[in-house]
Amino acid sequence: MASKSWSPTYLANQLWAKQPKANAELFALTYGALVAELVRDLETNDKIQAELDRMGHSMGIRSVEEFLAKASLEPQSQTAVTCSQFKDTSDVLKMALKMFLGITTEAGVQEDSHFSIQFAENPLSLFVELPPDRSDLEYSQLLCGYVRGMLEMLQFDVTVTMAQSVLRGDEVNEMRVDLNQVLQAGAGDDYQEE
Amino acid sequence: MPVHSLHVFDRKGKTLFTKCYAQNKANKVDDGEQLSEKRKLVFGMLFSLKEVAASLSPSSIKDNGVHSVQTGASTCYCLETASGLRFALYITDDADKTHARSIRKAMQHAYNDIWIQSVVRSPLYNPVTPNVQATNFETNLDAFLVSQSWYR
Repeated sequence: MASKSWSPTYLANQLWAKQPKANAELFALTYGALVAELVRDLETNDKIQAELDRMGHSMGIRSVEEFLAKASLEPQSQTAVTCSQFKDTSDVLKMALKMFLGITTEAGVQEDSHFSIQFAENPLSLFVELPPDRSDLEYSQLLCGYVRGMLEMLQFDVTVTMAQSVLRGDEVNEMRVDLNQVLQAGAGDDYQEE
Repeated sequence: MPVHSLHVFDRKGKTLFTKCYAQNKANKVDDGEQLSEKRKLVFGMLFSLKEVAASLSPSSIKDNGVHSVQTGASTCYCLETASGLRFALYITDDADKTHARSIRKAMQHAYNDIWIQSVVRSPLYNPVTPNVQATNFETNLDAFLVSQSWYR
């Protein structure tokens, strides 16, 4: 990494500085209201998490465009934002999380087919305590779906899970990203039909 | 009018947006089928060219995307994003190439500002079944293109 002329952390801070900010408490409470609504509507934790994951996925496939557009505007990022290799995506992901959520992440495990990122602060789970009957609900499942959506747009089919969560009593939040396959580029059915 | 047409394709070659600006008589007889055939050809050309370019280019240089394709009569400027979107802008009579840089910048702007603001952030846009026509992308794009010096 030292040989490269850009630093992901620097770039992430630049991007974060330019983003319009929302009030963190309003954001956390709005998300809390959303989860509470889902808890009322859907019964099991699995269903709630699936729904959160789906929502995050839709957000991810949209906001990756915005991230790519803004990151490519930064003069230092000429080579930074090409995610041609899976291992490059962990840096890019760190930048994206900083840009949209303002969270500073640290790299955990780094392997060829999976990596994990750790972050101490989770803006979604501000004020949150899980009640005893929902103690194994993955409150921040939305983030997993979000990352899955973003990487899907970059041709990586991944599974994202929260390996550790402060809400469940761990010391740090850790998100684990497993690569299932690299999707192949090529003309799809829509092209053939049209 | 130098700007002939603009197409936006997704990664799989589906046409997300297309607009023909030139109003010459030859185009009036084009029916929908011919137009979609044309779009297919444009996407196929850009797709194959990229494959060729990637296999020929020295491996040390990562950026092997196709920037433009020039013929005697017109130039096709192409912008491919990391998320797989392809913007193809056909410009006629750009023989002197003086505008090449500004056109490339303009296409970046069309993606960075117009596409992001009007399409990606629009609640009316559905990424699963893309409906760019429901957004105000076309209006904003037209306003931007008309303001460019090379539009006419």
